[in-house]
Amino acid sequence: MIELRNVSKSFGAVPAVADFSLKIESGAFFVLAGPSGCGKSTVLRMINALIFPDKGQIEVRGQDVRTMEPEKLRRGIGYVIQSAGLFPHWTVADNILAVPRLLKWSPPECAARLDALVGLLRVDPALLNRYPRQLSGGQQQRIGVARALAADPDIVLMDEPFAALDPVSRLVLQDELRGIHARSGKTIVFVTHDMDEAVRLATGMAVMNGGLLIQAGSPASILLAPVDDFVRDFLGAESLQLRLLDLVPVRTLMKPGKKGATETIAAGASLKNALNLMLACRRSSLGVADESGARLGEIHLNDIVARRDGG
Amino acid sequence: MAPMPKVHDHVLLTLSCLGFAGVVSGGFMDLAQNRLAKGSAYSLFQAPAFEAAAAMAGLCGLALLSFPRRPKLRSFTTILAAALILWGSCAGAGHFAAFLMQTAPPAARVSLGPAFWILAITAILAIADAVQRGNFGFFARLFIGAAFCAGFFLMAGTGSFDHLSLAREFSNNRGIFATELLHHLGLVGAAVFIALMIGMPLTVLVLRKKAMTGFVFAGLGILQTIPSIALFGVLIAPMTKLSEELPFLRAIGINGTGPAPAVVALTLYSLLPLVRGFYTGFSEVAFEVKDAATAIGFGARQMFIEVELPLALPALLSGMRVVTIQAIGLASVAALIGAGGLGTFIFQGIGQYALDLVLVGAIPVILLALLTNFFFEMLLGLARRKL
Amino acid sequence: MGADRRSLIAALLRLARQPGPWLTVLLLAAMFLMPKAEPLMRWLFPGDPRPVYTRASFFELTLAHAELVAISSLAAAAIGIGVGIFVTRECGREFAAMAGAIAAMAQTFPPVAVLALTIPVLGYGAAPAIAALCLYAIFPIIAATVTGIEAVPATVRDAAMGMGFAPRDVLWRIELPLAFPFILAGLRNAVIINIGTAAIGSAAGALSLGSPIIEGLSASNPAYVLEGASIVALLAMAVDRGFAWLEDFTRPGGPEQPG
Repeated sequence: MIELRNVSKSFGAVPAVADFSLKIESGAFFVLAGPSGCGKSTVLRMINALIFPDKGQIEVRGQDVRTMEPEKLRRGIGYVIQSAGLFPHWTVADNILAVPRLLKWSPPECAARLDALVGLLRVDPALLNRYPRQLSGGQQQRIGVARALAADPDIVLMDEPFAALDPVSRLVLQDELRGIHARSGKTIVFVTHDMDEAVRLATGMAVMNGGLLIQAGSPASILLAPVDDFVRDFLGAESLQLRLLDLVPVRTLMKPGKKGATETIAAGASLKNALNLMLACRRSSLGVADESGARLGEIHLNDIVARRDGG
Repeated sequence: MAPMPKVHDHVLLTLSCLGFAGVVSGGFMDLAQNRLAKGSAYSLFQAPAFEAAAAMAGLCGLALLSFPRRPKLRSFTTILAAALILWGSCAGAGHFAAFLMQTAPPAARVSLGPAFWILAITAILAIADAVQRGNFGFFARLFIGAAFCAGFFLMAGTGSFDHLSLAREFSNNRGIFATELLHHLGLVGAAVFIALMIGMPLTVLVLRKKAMTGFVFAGLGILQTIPSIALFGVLIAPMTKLSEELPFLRAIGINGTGPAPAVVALTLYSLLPLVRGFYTGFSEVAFEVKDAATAIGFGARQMFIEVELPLALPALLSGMRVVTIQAIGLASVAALIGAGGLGTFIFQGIGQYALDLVLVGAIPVILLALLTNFFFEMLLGLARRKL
Repeated sequence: MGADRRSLIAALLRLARQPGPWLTVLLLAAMFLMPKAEPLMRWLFPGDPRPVYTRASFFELTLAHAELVAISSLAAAAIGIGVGIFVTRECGREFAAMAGAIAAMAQTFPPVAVLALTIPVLGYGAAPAIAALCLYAIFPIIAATVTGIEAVPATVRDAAMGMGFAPRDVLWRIELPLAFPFILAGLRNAVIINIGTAAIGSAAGALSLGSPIIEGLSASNPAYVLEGASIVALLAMAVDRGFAWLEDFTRPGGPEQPG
């Protein structure tokens, strides 16, 4: 879907990205992770031709981005940035429909798409006529995501979209984004410096430092076999075993049973979440529920402890 | 064909094009048989060859300097080229005027033409741009400014400009000029001083009683929108009545026209920027800072002197700057109601078709405003550095 | 009865808080009824044989005054906004430093001095006055345009580019609408100052509301001065209110609701 070959880019004398090669498959949720200033945003911005590489080639959907009209390319790629970047003088609805209107969709098409997006992202319809300054940070970012998905692009680029949010809104939006990805099969390229976020969301990821690609692979492969000290340090002080728990959904260890604990956890939540909740409410087992809250079964502490595979 | 060299500084290239266009299109000097007669224009190419060549060389220098790559070098040489243009056009104008006056009747007047002004503006802009891009420090700027002023006054002192009608108007009015300049400064000083005396208690009032804020600012804002000439005019009638009713006012020289209504009007205009500057200055001192100061035991007096005043100082100075510059400009309108000042020359010149006399008033007013601005910039720089 | 009176008072108070309408009414009244004010002028200035300016009607003078201000301000807006846009584009960025420096310097020039400088170059009459007013107004408008465009958050511009807005779309749909309040404030400033300077322009032979003032001052006829001055003052205040209303009206989402 997206391929970078030996791409280099420097700003003035400062090299931002050096000899960078990467292939992102269609339908991937690909996370570019690394400390700030490592060049991950530069890579992202080269994919939608906001900046052009000094050397190397970038192909999107098999076509060299240099040969494409930048505006046309960008209209086919969703783009979300940290502070949402909503247009302060447009209402929420106008903001969401920015790209469809650039593409000259008819008003009925726009209205239909707006309805669909409001449903998909659970936007409160009362917000549609408000202005961005009247929204909370989490609401703004939700609109930012809706705007990126408005013209139904098959690729969405996200540059630390949730970095400025409070932990609760961040978790909620991460979950929804994962759901949207799973349902829509879009290719998402997501930049973050937060390792937890990276591991939670990615189907494939790359760790960058100083403009170089250090390691690429599935989250589990990187967690299990960091190539060097930098990656190990970047993964953080938290133990590997705990991080691995983050990769496994509760449903894999769920057992049938309806008696046990009153506290429940979603089947899609990670084992780490389950462990946290057990510690918090001092229980050795939890109920498991689906999205609608209907009880599916139970999960036991013993099973988590006894788990052997690497995710 | 050799490839076109790359232009690294489009600003310089544009400026030199402006200069060339000025030289080609307009008259450099204007010779009229007397004040009222229409003059005939002389171009730079008819000016004394040496100075004209210097100015043209400077212009070509500016054009060529848009090509080199190194910015620092470009800045230095640009200033030199601009100095060449300034010297060439000023000395050329003086020399040319002396030459033209040899054959002209004594009542004839030689004025500076558009081409001269365009050259001068080109050179000054080139210097300003070079100083900005060269990232010169404060003292370098001061030195460059002082050097150009010194050069200009040296030329004026040695009589280079004596035959220009601008210089003749100036020397005809030399005695009055000093008086009117002092008068102008007196009007400005009095107005700013009285405005400070009223503005400070008004600021305290506005800071203490938040309910008054909107009311006071709305009132002062309306005052600010009244055109100066109108306020001067509107004040004549009531002030005349007042001085008729109260003989003691008349005794100390307060009349419907003259300096008294001028100072009143200038004071009224000064209040809004002053109170706004003071108000933002004091209300923007962070609450946390004041809280911390109280917590470590500062009294009200110490708080004011040690904390609030230093932190509010930049805003106070900005307010003072706006007020002073504004008063310098408005005071020249006050000449219309007989208050004197540099505006006297402007309006006298307009009335008598003596256009160079207009410049004798207008140029010092502008220089005064620029100098004041520079002075306050300096103070602001000092005040901010301390923070 | 009591309630009626109370609501009447409330309505009057509301009107007093909105000075725009009654300033306009006052301006119109002053413009058309000034000749009827002869008794008042006689009382104010006893001993003045002809206390009302008659060389031109005040309506005519106001119209000429408005024309000077409108033509010069529109020209200045066109040039100023154009230059402001140019120096914030990629191709004009090189000129930004100089434009900023000139604009800052020119704004310390007193408007009267600018008027005085154009007379030697352009001569007497309405045209030089218009040129002077225009020249003076250009710089605050450039400064306001540049400030407004630069105040657009980088993230908003980035988002727009990233979504496929062409540079022209970014300018017309994002930057200019967001810079509009700044530009309007700059224009308001320039227009108010121009109304005052246009009156002074009468000294150089332009017909305006300054004409009776200048004539009154030179002929020691304070009644003329008062007549011209009061209409100029009302005109400036009414136009200022008009701009204030425009600023409210054009704010996205309408006038800001308190609270």
